[in-house]
Amino acid sequence: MKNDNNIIANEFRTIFKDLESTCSLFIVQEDGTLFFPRKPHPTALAVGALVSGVWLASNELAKQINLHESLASRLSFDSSDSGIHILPLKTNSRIYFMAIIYSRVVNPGLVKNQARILRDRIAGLDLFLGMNTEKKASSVLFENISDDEVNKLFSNIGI
Amino acid sequence: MSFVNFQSKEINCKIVYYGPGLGGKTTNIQYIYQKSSGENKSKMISLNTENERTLFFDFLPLDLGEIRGFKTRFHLYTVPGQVFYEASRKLVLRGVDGLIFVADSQVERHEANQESLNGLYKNLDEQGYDIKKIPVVFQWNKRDLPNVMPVQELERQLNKQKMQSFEAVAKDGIGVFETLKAISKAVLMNLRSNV
Repeated sequence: MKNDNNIIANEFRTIFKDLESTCSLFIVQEDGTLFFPRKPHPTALAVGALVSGVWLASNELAKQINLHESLASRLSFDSSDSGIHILPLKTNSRIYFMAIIYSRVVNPGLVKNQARILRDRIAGLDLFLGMNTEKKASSVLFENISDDEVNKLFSNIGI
Repeated sequence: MSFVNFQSKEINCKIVYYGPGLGGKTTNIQYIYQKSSGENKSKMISLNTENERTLFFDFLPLDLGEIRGFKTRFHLYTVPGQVFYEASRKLVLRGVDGLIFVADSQVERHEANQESLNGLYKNLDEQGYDIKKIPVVFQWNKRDLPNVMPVQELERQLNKQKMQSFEAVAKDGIGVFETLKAISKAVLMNLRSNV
């Protein structure tokens, strides 16, 4: 079975075609956890936290003028050829943020249009985006974790 | 909101350092950042004012090893401590899995500690969290300073639920990892298989 990341990567390649080399795609949970790309790259993780933070802050600010978040909302920070475009993405009954970061493109309007198409396509696929798909009763995942196990976990980063 | 990916066997958890301004929240994660090493060392992000006070948040992702077959990553955040950044604090709390309350042990900061803790409970409640279900660890920071409250008094006034607590001098790293490991363990043991 293909996993969700492969499906999203394929959709991105299909929809962005010639733009692929100048655009990066990030999908982020509301709490800032990066879902896509999943590779543990230091900068990518920071992008996740910042995308979530900037969206949530903008949303709070927009409430001052009674502008409420919807799937039609979007957030951009850009120059004439480079920028960041963020859209909300609803799938699996949860809200995520989809960010396209683009650099030196001839037609930024096209990037934003393709971003919306990609967002709608991914939402339509109703992916689980990595959430637990196993139908289990609620139970504790780990029981009785020892101090040794925790120490071993942190030893990976030299702590 | 912890994120357990059963496809890739990954766990992501969000830990927030909360507490009054100048209490040592950023110092904690700066120390962790300085001391962490290896190929998995990540970049720390700080959104600061010109005079180095936290404006929105500090962020440090920690790519840890595996626990019982699950690759584990903790996302450490601090909130801005200054009183007028209440709106920002609320946003950073979204999806929190575990809290470290960094209290300033100095006598003159006791009211600020109390005010910050009350704010934390209020913010969690407003966002629908049940404080009893979120792991919290207290850190009594700045124990090296002369005018500090006795730990028993801090426990009595601030830690009424008798959560785990640690004395610390975060600038020297004392108590920093102990606090982090304690909350990490509590968060992992709080994970549910149906999240």
